[in-house]
Amino acid sequence: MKSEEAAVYMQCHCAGLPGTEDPRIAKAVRVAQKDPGLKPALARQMEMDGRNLGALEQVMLPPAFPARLAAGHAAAARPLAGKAFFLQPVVLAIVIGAIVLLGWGAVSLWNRAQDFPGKDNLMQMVEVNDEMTGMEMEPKKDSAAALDDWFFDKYGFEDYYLAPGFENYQTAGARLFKQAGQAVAQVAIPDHNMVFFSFKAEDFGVTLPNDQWRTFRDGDWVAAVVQHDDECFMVTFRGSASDMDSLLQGLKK
Amino acid sequence: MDLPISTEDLTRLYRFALLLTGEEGVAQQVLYDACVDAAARLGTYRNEDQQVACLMGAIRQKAKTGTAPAAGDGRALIRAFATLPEEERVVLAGLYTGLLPARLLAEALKISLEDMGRALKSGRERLERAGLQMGEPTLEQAL
Repeated sequence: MKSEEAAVYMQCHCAGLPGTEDPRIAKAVRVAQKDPGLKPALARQMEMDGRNLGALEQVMLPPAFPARLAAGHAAAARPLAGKAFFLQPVVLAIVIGAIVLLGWGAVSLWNRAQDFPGKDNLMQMVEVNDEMTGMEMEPKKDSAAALDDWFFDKYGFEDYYLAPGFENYQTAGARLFKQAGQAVAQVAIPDHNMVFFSFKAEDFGVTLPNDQWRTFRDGDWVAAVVQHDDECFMVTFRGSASDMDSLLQGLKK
Repeated sequence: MDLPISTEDLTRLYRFALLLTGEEGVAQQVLYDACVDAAARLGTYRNEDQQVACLMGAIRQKAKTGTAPAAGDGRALIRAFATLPEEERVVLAGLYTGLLPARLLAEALKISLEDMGRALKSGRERLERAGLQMGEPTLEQAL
């Protein structure tokens, strides 16, 4: 270590106090003790420090202070108010965890509330939308209600059913397909890029209270299904549950 | 208040606060406020050095935001400290109170050991001049 460096690091030395454990400081002191230029400076430093440390040791903690600190326990232990309380890392972690749990719980509850017999079969039906290219359907431009006769004439399908409010939507194409051997009428609607499904409830194990909608999500798709006697109607499109709610609310008006 | 700090360290912290503020009443208030503020955090530190560093930081911050150090204390050492620039006052007070080994003190003050050495050199020189100006060749005599 050079004298210039030692002159700096030796300043971190304070006799009688911790500090010399750092090798740079210990080495600086050793160098300074052997360096004729630094030795007197180190001696002056140590003498001055010794005096000042002696003086400082006379300063004692006021006897009343520990009692004051103890008395301040109530104030210190007082829960932090408002923003300060919520900004504590532990509280933040708990709050974030609680929000995630609540969110997860709310989604689970919502899903459970929307559960019904046959839902899995209907989800498979919705997933058919993703597998289609559009070529599967027969072009058919008419009102949705008008396809009742078309499905009967072409396929002998008697269970075509449209929920009230969906009759006047214009269609782009339609087809009848089989899912697990059961017939399903499928209609493409350009408006909202919707796809309608119509089928017999018992064919897919669906049991719902009459004329009450159930909404569920499946991937990007949202679906709402309603049963009327033994017939079911399902409307699907890419969107959220709230989009579907808006659509259904609009029908009621 | 149940602080994980020994009475000996609390005394050292008080000396640190006194050297920074220059006045007993202010030092007590600064130490008290720092303890109250840091109380909840201290339990999260793994060792005593970190707890002490946390309290020193809190004291420094509170002393900084308060009024400039008073030079009215009857003790020459305290008066002399009041004349030092804040950084030199902090490093020298930190070294003299022996709260942390030098290397950890530098880390706690977020400066290199070399920079701390320079600040200590300058602080000691200033402190010596201040003592001489006050007619106290040895500050110990005035205490």
